[in-house]
Amino acid sequence: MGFDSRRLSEIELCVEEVLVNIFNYAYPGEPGEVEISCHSAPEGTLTIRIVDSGIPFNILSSDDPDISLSIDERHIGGLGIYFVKQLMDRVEYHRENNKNVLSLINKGNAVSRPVDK
Amino acid sequence: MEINKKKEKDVLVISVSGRIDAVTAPDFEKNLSESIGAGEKNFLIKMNQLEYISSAGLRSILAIAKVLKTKEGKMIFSGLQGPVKDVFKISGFGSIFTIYDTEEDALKQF
Repeated sequence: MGFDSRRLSEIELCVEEVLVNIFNYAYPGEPGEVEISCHSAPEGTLTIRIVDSGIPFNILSSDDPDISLSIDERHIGGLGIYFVKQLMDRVEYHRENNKNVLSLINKGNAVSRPVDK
Repeated sequence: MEINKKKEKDVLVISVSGRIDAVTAPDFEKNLSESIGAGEKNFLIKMNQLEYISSAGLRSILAIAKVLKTKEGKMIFSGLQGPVKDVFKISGFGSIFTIYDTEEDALKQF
């Protein structure tokens, strides 16, 4: 689909972050299911859809970590979700049949977004 | 993930290769904690061969850095490549930690 290796690495990172978040928090104290699927559209858009039936959680409504804090002040959590929000072209969330449905959407052939600030 | 350690004067040079992800991060943290337990407090983490790091890896790095700070030690980095460099940048770790291009430059800072 024309993703360069840097973009593929970013997509891989975001998928890991979402899955690890579900593994850690969606089903406290009990086993649960996660379903992941990939869909490609003719215009080259890749959508990765991740579905779980755990605790309702919309990553889009979570607070971003303060990345300007020093080592002492810096908190440990929240970075994974922040990566997803920063790196994916678009993130969509909705509830469907009591499930969390998250879509990570990436335009094909896109040049990696520069991360320099 | 593979970790190799060598001592340069009073600095422990830790070369980490492969991937630090949710699966390997606990091993990385445990390995470095053992060195702290053995009395080491100056760490140079060489990342020339590190291909991938996720937030789980950053979490381990931050945990170790916090412990080192209480012992008046320090942890600096060298040789970040591609995706690892990007992740440090986006997370702000590039600003809170000191990063050098080469091991030689980094060692001068201790």
